[in-house]
Amino acid sequence: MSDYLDLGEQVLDKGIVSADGRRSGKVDDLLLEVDDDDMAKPPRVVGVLTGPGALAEDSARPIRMLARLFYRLLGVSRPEPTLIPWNKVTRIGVVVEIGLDRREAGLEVLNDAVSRRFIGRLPGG
Amino acid sequence: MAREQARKSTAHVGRTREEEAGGANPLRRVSALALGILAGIGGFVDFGGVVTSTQAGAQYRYGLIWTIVVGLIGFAVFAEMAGRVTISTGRTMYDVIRDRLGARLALLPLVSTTISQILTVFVELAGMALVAGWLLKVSYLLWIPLCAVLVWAIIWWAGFELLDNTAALLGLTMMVAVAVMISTTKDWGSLAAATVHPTFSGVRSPAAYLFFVISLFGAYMTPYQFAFYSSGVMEQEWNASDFLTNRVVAIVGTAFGAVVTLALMAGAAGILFPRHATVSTFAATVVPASVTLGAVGIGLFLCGTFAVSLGAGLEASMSGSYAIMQYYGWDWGKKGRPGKAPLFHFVVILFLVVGILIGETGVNPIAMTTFAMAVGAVTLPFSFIPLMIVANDRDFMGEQRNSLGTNLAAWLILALLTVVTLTAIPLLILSGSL
Repeated sequence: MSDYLDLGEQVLDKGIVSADGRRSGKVDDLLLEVDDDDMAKPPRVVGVLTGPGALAEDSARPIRMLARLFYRLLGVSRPEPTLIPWNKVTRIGVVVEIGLDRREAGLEVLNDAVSRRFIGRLPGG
Repeated sequence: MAREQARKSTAHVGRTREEEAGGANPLRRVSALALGILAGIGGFVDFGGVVTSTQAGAQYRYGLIWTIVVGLIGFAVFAEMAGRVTISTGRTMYDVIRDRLGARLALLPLVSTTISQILTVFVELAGMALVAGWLLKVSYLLWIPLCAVLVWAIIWWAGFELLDNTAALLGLTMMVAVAVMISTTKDWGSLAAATVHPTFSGVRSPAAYLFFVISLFGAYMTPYQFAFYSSGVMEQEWNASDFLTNRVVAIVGTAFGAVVTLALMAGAAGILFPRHATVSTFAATVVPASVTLGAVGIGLFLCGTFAVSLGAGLEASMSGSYAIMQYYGWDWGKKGRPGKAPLFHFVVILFLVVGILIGETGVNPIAMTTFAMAVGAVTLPFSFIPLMIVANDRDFMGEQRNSLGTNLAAWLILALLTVVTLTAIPLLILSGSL
């Protein structure tokens, strides 16, 4: 049983650290694949979901709309969660480490948007 | 089993650099102490503390001095806990809380603390602006945005250490309150007795008295400061050798703040209480220092008030952003250029903007301050309970989980906060003051 991994306890809600060693969001959700023809087959973990809207996705419609609107205001044109394929997860501990740089993983969307719209316009930003 | 291993094998994320560099260095201890004093001044004494303690002394003389002892214990217990959780888990408070409670439940502490942090940012901006307005005889409404720009500029350009030490040093001028207390207090016996023995003489409305108790608790233990302390511990990369430092800092910082608070209350009791003066304007808070020490007293008091408001304003706007960043797992902290953590700086600016907007509505800053502190106290259990759940979790904390004594003290404080709040709200509604 020592190889047993509790996804809810050990993966969900953990911080994601990219290959360049930066805090890059949280594991907001997990994507599992189930074989419809053979339900006896254990589900396969496709990857972890993070980023704009990943948390709000399971909420009521007004909350989803509000989250979407908020991200639009921040400058994200298409607020969608990012999927990090499970085979890119390199280590699971206090944080979830991935073998991708932030940009490769597509995790710079929100930072880029806020930089472009707000922070980059200030002196020294 | 695997979970326990995972925790152990990587429990040193974020602290390895320090260990490689050869462990503790004495300078770090000094800056650790500065962190504690800053947290003590900025939290225990901030503009909210100046206003509420002066009001309490003016209205009830020594009747509310007992609250300082409770606040002192509560602050030290929960600050130490926040620091210890961060050292043991290698993660900050709102990060661990989300991990332990899940994203949805963890919104409760996050949202409640954010509400209190927004109000606190306004309170500290108002404190700075009222001092500036006093000195330059220009409306404080004009100063609020200018003070917000000052807070922003310091966070944007200055390093954490500089910020830490400057505000802590300037805050020392608040010791003027101690001089006021010494020169006005004649009956030291009853002052000392009042620290442990609540008196209710002169209490006409129980609802108003309880509301004061709540505001004072909120002023001593403002929610933002626990997130700030936890983040400071992380940013300074404390490790397993720092559990003692953590304890000492939490106690020294708090004690400093408690002495100043006691002095403010006793000074107001000596000068304002006999004159039946109520503190509804900023000018009234200056009276004890000006009557006792004249122009020098005014100068020191204004400088001290500005410094503690600035210190707390910096802390509150930063930890408001810290908590949100840590919940979402984004970059936070003052290391590196602002462009490296755009979201962190963006949220800091949002807090300041909302603070300005509250100020510009023209709401009475003193009344709003008392209200904001009460809101802070009401939101405290929402952060304290999750913190205690984490601090008692063997999987997260191992050997460093709460001791029986810590738990006992923490539960007592929580119970008192809850009882006072739950009693005061219906009383306030009945008496028509809410």
